Amino acid sequence: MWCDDYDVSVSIRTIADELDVTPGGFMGARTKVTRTKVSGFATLCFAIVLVASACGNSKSQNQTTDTTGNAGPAATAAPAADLTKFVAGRGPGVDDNKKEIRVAAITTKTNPIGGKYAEYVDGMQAYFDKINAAGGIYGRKLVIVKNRDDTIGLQNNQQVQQSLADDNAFATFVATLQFTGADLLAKAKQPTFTWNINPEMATPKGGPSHANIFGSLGALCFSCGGHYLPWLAKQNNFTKIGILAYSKATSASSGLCADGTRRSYEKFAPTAKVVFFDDSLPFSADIVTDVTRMKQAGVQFINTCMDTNEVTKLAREMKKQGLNAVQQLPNAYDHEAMAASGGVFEGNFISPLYVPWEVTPQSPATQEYLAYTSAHNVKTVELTQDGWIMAAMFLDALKLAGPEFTKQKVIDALNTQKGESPGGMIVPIDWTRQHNDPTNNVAVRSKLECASIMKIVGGKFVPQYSEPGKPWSCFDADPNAPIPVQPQHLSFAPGGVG
Amino acid sequence: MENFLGALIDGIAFGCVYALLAVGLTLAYKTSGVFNIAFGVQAFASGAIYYQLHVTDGWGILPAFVIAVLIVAPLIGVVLDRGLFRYLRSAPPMARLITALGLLVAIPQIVLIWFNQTDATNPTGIVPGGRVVYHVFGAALDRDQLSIIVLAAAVAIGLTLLFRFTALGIRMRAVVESPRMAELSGTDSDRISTASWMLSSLVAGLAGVLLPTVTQQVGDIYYTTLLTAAIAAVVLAQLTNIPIAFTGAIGLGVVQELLNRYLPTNSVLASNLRPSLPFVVLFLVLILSPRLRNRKELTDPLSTVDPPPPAPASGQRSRELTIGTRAVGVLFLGAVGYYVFFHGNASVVGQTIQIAIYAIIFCSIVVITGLAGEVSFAQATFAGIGGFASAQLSSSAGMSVILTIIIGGLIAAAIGGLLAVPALRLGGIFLTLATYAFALFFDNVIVSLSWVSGGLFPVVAPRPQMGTVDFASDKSFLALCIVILVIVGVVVILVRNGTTGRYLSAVRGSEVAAASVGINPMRARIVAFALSAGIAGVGGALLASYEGHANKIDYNAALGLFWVVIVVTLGPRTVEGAIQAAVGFVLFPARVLPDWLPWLINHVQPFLHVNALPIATQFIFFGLGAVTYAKHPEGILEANKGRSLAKVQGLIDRFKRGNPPTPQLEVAAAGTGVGTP
Repeated sequence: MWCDDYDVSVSIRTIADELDVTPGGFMGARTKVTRTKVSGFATLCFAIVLVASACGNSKSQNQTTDTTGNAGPAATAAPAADLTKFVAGRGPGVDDNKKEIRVAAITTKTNPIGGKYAEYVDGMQAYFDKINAAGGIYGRKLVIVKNRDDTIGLQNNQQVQQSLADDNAFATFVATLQFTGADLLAKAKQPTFTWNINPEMATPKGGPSHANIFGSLGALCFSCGGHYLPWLAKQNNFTKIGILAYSKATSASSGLCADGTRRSYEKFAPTAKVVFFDDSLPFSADIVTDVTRMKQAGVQFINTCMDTNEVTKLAREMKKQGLNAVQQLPNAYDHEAMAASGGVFEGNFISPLYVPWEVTPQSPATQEYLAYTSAHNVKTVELTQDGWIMAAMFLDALKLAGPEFTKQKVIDALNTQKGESPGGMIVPIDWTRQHNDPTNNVAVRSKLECASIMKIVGGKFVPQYSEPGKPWSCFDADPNAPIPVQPQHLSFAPGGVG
Repeated sequence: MENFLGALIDGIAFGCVYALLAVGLTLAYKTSGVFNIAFGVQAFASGAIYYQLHVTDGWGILPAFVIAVLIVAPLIGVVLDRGLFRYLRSAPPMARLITALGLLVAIPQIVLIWFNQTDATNPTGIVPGGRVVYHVFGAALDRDQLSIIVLAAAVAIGLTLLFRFTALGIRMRAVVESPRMAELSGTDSDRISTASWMLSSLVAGLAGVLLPTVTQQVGDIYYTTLLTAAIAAVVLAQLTNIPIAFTGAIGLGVVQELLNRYLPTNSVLASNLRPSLPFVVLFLVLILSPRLRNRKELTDPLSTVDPPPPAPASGQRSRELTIGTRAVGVLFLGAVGYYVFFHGNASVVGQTIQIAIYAIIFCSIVVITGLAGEVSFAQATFAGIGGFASAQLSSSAGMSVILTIIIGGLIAAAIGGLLAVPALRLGGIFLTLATYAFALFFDNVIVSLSWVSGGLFPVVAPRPQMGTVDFASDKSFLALCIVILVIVGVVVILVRNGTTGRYLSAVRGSEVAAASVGINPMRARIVAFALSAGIAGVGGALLASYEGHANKIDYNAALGLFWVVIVVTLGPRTVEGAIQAAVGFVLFPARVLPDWLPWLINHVQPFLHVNALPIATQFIFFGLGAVTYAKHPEGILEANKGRSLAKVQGLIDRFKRGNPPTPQLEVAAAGTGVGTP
């Protein structure tokens, strides 16, 4: 096994990219958009999250199954017997009378300028219900005491401040368009779990530490690029590449993503050439000409840093003009939307940020998520899964902190983890360093970039380039490492399944 | 050559998208005198209904089209006419614009609550096989596009013929020019007005079901974005000429397409010009067109027979009542201050800071709208200029934060003054549109520059320090904000009561009369504009310092529109009104809707239990509140304050002398011709 070359099991994940502003996409996917509304102009930002995850350095005891790469104490290391032990006086946010661990949620629910993430809380609630039904943890139930709507702009800062003052919550969950309250949460040292589309999650260079803010991705790097796309192009003999992104005014992260993607090809793909590059698109752009020019340039493979709505428009225009190129979709892992798309995405690639449900055999964690949400009528989309995953990460942190948990102990415990991945559903995150902005700091990037590659065939998502039980294709994230002939195929699930 | 022809055809096709909206907007103005900035959200309502019926519920194209376009859209027109705009026919254009702005804020939220429409993807058009493609001179057009082209042309031609050759068209124009004069000539203004609104709403409905095939999603943002781009063509047509609006919109589409085709895609020019082209064109048309400068807006010539606007309620009090109300005010503020500073938690202190900051920013709207009588849609932009300038100067240049706040205000004032020089020649709606174009240009081009906003990570904006006094803590920063609010408030009051204020009042009443007595209207307005921008800049700088960053989303042009709505709803003519608007803006989403109102509902009746009201309610509440602007240009709270003071004054009079109470203070607003809706 690849991970056996190392003494400790470390898994790291690198996110290559993300976007910027609002909800976009079929599922409000991993895009962040800033969008102006009434004016009609506005800025929208959408993002892509392209990705790489990484694994690293694990010395597994069982070479065939343990690829989790966990170097620090395992997230599930707390003895099972301890999980029922009730120790009073756990401090703010823990109600000993009601026997509750109080959690606050702040999501963008009714944003008039775009970006609605309410389903995130549904996933959290489902996971908490599951845990509570099994007796809770440390003799307490997990309770969402307040579900706040941060609408737009300053409201996130305001809602964070109000939550910290009024909710008496032990931890805060955030899924927001703009994370303006990140500094407040950092300053308060509040255990915080986010749907990470916000660069504000990271500790900025020279800025206050955000070591208490955890996401399903480590700190984002929009411009890092990576090996994955050049490798995929090579695998499919794509030699002419097109890259499209919003103008930096529309979405700063989209422009950075395009720059990073172009550099990746220049560095890692000598046989592929970027023959069309447009990072000047406005929101709701007219892309007719872009398609015409890509057709004239003979583009075979298109990478976009835009939201799902725009790539849908692009796909339709490509079909209209007869451009038979393949898209790498940034975020369209939505089964309902795919079924309704009329086949315009046929043959395109996509890389979800968690283990796809189509992977066989499915991991126990994925099976549990799908079974529970199906049985309890919870929508199965990326947002609910992310809420579920982050709730699970919170539970991992509580287990690690032990029965005498406090806010600080929970933060500290999770920050010892070099391969945090609840149930193996995401690429493990090294929380000893992935809080920091990796843009200009290679040392805090993950060591590997991983993608779970899917192809759309017959309107369905079909896993590609993976081995049974090993859904992730992983590359060395070292920017100086050459592109490999084949990536490592890995699983991060306990038991190495799915 | 084929490449050029292909671009031309593609440009015409996309231009027809603009044309449909431009023609609709022109029609609305021509037949109602309302610059209906809510036209896009009217279209959204029909688009959402069509999507719901056809795509979600599986209805056929025809029945879904009939319901969404032929029934619901005209019905919306009837409701708007009978419920609102009928009473505004003689109102100033600004009052009608504000009313439309209120609808722009409220309608999408009502639709979203009703339909729960969030991700309405994969919309379909109104012709079967909409994706079937035809190739024309190298351009690929599908049936959906062709349907837009054909219908946009048909609408433009049909409406042109209607206004040129039919009695109905002439009556529609007559009713807009002066309903009262039209009545004198035997025209039933009410019926004609209703027909006009039904017609323009029908066009909005048509646009609503056609455009999603272009945007690929049904969302109010998409309609409004396209509509804003189409405004350039509408302005080119001086708001009334349908053929010019149509051809102008197509011209805009063609220019856009040619730029797309021939500009290098990764050039600085392309990345700045492509997103901003419609706003640049709009701004240039506004500034450079000599016809616009000399053009008179559609205003009832009889409107000047209406009585003047009511004086501020505070100016109508007796001495005793003034002392009494001031004493109560001081006691109230003292109690609030005591609670906030000595018992308030971080949340309460934080919200009070925000109230103080927004009150400062809203004072800028008091100056420009309450005193100068103009509407600026760029107040958020001026706040942003102050915020970004202050943050950059303090974090990059290491200047004193207090100094940078002042400099931020001065820079905003200078830019505001410079913008005012050409824009104020336009006046009225055109001035408002010029500020809007500037705000959108700032959002789409200037903000993206890293030396302005910092790029991906917002610029750090530290808290101020004056000598040994550090404003790092929230309570000390609150004290600073209150001091600045007091200073700004005093300045606004001094200006209002001073020479500039009196000049502005005179100019607002009658520009010609003011000029005849030696007042220079331009000078007075430029001062007001610069002062207003400067105040907004100071507020924006404080906002950045409070948050620790200058976040571009806090200065978004769309947010600025909502600011205007909330201030004109509550009280655009007094500092007190600005403070009340700030209280509403901060506390509605933070306290009133999630906590206080549900508590009240749950405690006054046993049947219905409410947890938290949707935050969207605030947009509906204030949006619909703004439609009362024409009836109460002094704001709802100010109007009610006037009534309350009159009642109290009556009681005092009765108590003192046994005299009957003085009459109610409220009088009809100037030029509104307002009846009772």
